[in-house]
Amino acid sequence: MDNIVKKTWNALGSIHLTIVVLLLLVIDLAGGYMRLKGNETIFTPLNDLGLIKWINTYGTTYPSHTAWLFALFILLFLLAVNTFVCTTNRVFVLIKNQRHCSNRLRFILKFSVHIMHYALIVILIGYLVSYLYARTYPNTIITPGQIVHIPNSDIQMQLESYDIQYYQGKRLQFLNNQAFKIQAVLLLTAGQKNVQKTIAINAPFLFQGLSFHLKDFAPKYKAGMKRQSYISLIIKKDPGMKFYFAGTLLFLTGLFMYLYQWSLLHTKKEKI
Amino acid sequence: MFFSQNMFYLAAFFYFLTWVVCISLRDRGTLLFRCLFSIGLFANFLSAGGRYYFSWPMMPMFQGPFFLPLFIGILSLKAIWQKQAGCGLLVSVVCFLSLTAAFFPNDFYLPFLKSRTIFSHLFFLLGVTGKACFLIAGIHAIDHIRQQNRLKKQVIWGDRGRAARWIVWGFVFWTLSMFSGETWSYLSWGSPVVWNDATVTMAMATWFYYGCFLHLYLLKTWGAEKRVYAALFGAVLVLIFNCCPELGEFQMPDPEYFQFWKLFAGKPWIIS
Repeated sequence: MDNIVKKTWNALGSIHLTIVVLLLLVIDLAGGYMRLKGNETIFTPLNDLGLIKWINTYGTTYPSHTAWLFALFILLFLLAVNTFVCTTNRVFVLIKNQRHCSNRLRFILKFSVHIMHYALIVILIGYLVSYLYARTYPNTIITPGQIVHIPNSDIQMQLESYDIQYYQGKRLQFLNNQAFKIQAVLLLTAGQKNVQKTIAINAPFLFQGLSFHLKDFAPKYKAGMKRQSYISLIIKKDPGMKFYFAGTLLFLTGLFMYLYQWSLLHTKKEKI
Repeated sequence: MFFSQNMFYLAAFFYFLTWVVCISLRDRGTLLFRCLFSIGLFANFLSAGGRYYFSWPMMPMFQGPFFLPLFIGILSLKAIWQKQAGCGLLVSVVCFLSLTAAFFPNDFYLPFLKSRTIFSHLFFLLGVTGKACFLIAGIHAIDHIRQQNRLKKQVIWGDRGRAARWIVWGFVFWTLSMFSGETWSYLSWGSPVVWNDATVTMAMATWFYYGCFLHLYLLKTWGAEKRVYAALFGAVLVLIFNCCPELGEFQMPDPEYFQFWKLFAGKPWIIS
């Protein structure tokens, strides 16, 4: 029994499996490009609906277009397992041989590649959690003074004020008299708690586990037909977000450690 | 845009002249070669600068093909300037890429407000740098294969390592570009992957391909010869899957763009 477990463990951590899975991923994603191009409307709702609802609707309705995505999930799962087993084996060997490394810094730097591998797993877990458990309200419209209640929460929000700056100048001619910068102030109420938050394009904020992103607004033009003022928000509760950003930071740490190790090695070679 | 497009045609013309001088005079005419290439590179720089100038603080959307020859030229400037091994191929590729960008321009997209963040700029610029590194690695691989066939013997190890070094750097830039894209996507749309652009799959495929290459290279699973071919194949993949989708249909340049004196008559680049 022990032998079977050991053999399976070794097979799962094999570098040959890594190469095969990586090449299959390349082929699958190339196929995915062909299916995705021109059919973006099938895949765009994936972020709003979540994976399960998307599979039950778009995923099963257009199997010839979506099969590559299912294959991608399977391959990414295999890659995550392979990466975990392979990296863990190597980390154990490295720790075992700690005695042979006299320089502490060099020993720590040897973990750089393994940090990147573990980080990849954390990122993939983050994406999976996000697609499985995220709750999205993709188009919450709010007009000045209006009070909007966010579903499945006790949060209410009110658009207190907004400031739209319109571009005037000759450099960006296409943008003349069009909105160039917007900033809105929202008053959020959760129970007894009142908080003022400022939102802008590419400047979301977090409140009670929800992230608020500015999606759209009006009026966009300084002149012309008078339009009702509003802002449109993407409100998201995404438990995977912390994972994928933590994974990204971890990967970057490993990457810079690796580059530092590489430069040390290079300097040493040059001295020789 | 008149200025940027004008300058790009000028750059492509000088790159073409450099290529003609390079293949016809070979080891002679170094000064002429250097002068022509410098003018081409400078015009390309002005063109890229112009594109940024007319969209800043937003990102010049889908302008990668106009930046790519410039980045390859800058990154391999030393090799080209000193007419090192592979110089002819480098100039040929720069010339080829600039001509394809000139004759197959993509549809022009106006910069949009959501690209007004440092992460969109990092995503774009690091992505172009990564692509340039991968293509330079491919050029070194071709040069290695050519030399080997000519000499009918093993070429020294250092030549093979050059392609791999470019790939390591390409992978670093490509990874940083993808992480910047992830952050930009989260800030703007609340999700790390936006499925409304098919090229996202090809960016992932490229990352997995070079991830696979680095495993083969660092673990020495494959022989050096096979790795050279893998580097070449990677460059072909980058050309087909990352560069071609950014191109449009064949289009003869508008004769108005060749009236260079208009640059000085109208001074369209002067800010108001």
